[in-house]
Amino acid sequence: MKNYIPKIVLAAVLLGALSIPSFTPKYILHLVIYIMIISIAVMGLGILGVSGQISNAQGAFYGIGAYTSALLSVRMGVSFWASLLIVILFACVVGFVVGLPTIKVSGLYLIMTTLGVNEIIYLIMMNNITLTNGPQGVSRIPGPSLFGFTFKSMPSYFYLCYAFLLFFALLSIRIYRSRLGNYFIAVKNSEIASNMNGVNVVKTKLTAFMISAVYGGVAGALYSGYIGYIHPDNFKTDVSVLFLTMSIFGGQRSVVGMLCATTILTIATEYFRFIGEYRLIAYGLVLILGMIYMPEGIGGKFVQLKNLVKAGKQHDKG
Amino acid sequence: MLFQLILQGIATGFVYALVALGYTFVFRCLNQVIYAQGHIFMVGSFMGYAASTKLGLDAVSTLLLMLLAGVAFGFLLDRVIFRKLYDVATMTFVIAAIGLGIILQNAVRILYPEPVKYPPIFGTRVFRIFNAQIAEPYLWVIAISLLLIAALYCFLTFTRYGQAMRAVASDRTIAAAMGINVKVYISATISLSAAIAVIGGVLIGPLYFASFDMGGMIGLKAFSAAVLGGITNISGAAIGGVVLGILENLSAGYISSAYKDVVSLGVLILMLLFRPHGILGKAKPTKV
Amino acid sequence: MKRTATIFLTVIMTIALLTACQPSGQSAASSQSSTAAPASSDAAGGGTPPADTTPIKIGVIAPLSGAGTSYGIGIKQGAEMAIDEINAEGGINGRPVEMKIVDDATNPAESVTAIQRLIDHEEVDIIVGGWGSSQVLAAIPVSEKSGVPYIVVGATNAAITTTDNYWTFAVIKSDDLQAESLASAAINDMKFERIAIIYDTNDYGTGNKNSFLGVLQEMGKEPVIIESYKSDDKEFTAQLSKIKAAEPDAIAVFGTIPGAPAIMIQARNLGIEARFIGTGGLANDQLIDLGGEAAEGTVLTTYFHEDTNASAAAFAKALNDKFGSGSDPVRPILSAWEYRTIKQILKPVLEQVGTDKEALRSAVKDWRGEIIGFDGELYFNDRYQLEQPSVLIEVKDGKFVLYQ
Repeated sequence: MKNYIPKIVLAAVLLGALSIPSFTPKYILHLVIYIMIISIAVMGLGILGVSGQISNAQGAFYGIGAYTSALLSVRMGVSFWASLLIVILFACVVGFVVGLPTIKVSGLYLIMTTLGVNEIIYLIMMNNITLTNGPQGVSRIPGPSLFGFTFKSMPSYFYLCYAFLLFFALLSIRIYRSRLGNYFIAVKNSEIASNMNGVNVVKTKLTAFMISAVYGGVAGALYSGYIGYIHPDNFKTDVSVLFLTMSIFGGQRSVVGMLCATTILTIATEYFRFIGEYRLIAYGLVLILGMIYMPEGIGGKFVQLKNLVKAGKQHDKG
Repeated sequence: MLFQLILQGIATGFVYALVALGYTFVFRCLNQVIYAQGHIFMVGSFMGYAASTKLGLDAVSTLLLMLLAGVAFGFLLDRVIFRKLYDVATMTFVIAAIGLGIILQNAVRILYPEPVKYPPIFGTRVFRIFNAQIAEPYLWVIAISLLLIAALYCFLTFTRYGQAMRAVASDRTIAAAMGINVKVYISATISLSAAIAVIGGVLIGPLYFASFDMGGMIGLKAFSAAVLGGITNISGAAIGGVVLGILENLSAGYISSAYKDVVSLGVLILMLLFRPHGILGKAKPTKV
Repeated sequence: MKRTATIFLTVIMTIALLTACQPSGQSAASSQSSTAAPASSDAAGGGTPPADTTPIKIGVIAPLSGAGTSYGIGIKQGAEMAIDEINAEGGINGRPVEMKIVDDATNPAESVTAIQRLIDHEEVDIIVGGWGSSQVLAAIPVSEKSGVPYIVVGATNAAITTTDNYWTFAVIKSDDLQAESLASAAINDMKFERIAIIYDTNDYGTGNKNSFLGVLQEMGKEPVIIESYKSDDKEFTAQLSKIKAAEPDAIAVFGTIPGAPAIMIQARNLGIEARFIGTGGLANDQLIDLGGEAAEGTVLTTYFHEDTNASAAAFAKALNDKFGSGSDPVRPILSAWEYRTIKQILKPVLEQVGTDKEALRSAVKDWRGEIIGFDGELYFNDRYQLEQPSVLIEVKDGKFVLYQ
């Protein structure tokens, strides 16, 4: 019976979350939806992080997803779902193109390379006016619709994003526990050892990159369908840094950790509005203090607590 | 026009080099990159602005005063924040530095929400070399950068303290075993790097207007310059900066001003892919 | 993992195939306007209800952090002064007026959250403000969908007042109209023959460049060279060297602070002597503070100057009295629109129809009246843009003066 308690609690939380739209004011609901959308992008970085890679380009993939979906539906009337497929495909391709040369690079240099990639993609978005409408942005993006029902009201978009988030969270957990996940951890620990043990390091790293790109792209598609207007400034390197921050703050191995981190950091900027001009300073403090006291992220803290509990139990037993 | 572009590229390059020096210096000693370097530079710029407008000092006194102020500021940052982060993983350090950057930016924004014009402490003359023009403050930038690089190089190579710093950089445990007080040296490294950034801010203030958001772009470009030149090599900062500056100006002049960053970033990315240790850096063999 | 991926893709593909056969998406856009059905006006009706003293809430969205901070300060000053004056005069029909101001951090994504906060959390009756076309364009869908009138004071992109927007008004003159005024002044009055253009690649600069270019071409002229720059660039030597080689007699600078003054200083350092011209983005005292001598002689179009007539001068003086001793510098040009909109458009409209949103909307649409600084009656055209003549000003002896 005891073993089922955490599962029951989890189920209760998940079901309870479904009722959020009925009692939250629209402003909070908007934040919740926004958090859900970017969590998907953040989780993508988690997958990358588990394989030992750091990407400062998630904002660009987010943008690619947003623009692809937006342009297809505004200019060619393609439905959200069909464009989603194209987004996934496109994200895979770009992820491959970006990931392939960066295989040999790691740490500091990978941060720099991916940052450069993000900047380049941003410049293309801004200046290639025939393709992306440039600084005017793309407006009047129709949202997704399903059998005639359009997801335009906030509660309906909430449920849509909830479904996507749940799917991608479960996917992440499955990946972490799968053989592929083990390859990721092996490669992160030592590429040479993994290579010698028959792990195809190149394929593993590339797969991680492509999966992470897909997460980012899907999040972007959801974003453009929700807000209805996108602009290259939404996808600058600041956004990549933000996602990266959230994934590290959450502890990349832990899905729950990353969700908590995204929620906390987004709410921090909004909640602190009451201190007016100092709110971003408070946000910076949260980051610094978080890193000093939780260097492994929130997920790391969970693991620590779990171990403490386990050790306590052992002590009782023994 | 070519000569003007190259000349300006060199001048701008030394601007990047000044900030890049800080990155390189800390990386050599701590194996981390302080992402807030650009914002420390910005704070330095405002400190210099406050000093020169309120105290009315001339160029050299401002610089000396700012050197002291920079060391003090760096020491403060180290004590309050970095001390607890000497041994953390790369990304943890990066995020903490990002947080610091946000705090610095917004704190300055509250005091100075709008760009300010520096008093012309470095002169307003415009020199003509052949058919190109260059403003006087740039000459100060180049001179002081070269001076700093030479000073740092001598310090690290010829003095005992410099050699101790290098020992701490290559292997902390062994350095400690040799009796070097590691913590003191790391602290000194950070303070010195902050001082360099502050001096950079003062030198560049008259050229570009001090504003609270000036740190971001310059920090990024200086970082590219450091990596381009070889982040493990002090002179690399200068080489990388000059190469980046010239590259930017030439691509803006001959290819397209809108896409000039694409060219410089493209070159950077290619460098990172084929020669990540940069122009002057030495490749680090992977130890098994 | 592969299995889940295949299932996911199959599900999406099935949905895609099914929905591809139906007319997707486009209908959603037009349905937006119909959701804002006019509610029954509670101001009408017989009997004398007890005097209502609940405050009227005016929402102000402005950049109080980020690159647009100086403009946001202006908007805030204008709003504060207008509302303080209204309250000092007894409020609107006895009801006090409250300002609810939110910061959008000069960021399009933030501005969506900010306007959401104004509408849902603060429950404002009407929104006045907005700076920066990217921010405003991002926020408008929210106010359109929620049915709240939004009067834009600081963004000039032509897309803001399209015929699809039912609740959005613009008092500030849009880019295309300003560029027209500038072009005709440049060619016809100032008789420039060789005009160079340098523009910021953001929406402000690009919009202005396109409009200006269009007007020039209609007049049968071409610029001698067109260069661009990124908003946060600090170095313009490359672009200016090319401009110098083209030997212009005027350079149109379509950008804002701090790019524009930097361009002017660097241009003069390179020995370029051409005159600078521009539109509203340059109408900021910082142009002179930062640009110094290099900015002398710049001619630009704007929408307010204290010397145009007596009422304008009075406004500028009152603003100075109120904010002169504060920590932020006084910004008459930037606060002008916010003040004038609240005091001269909103006050009479609110007094007339109360706070019902649909009634407010129609009343603003039909508003005609005087605006400080302009002669004669102004009104909104059918694009909900306030029609107005341009004010041409010049930088002379370190100050903005009217261009003669």
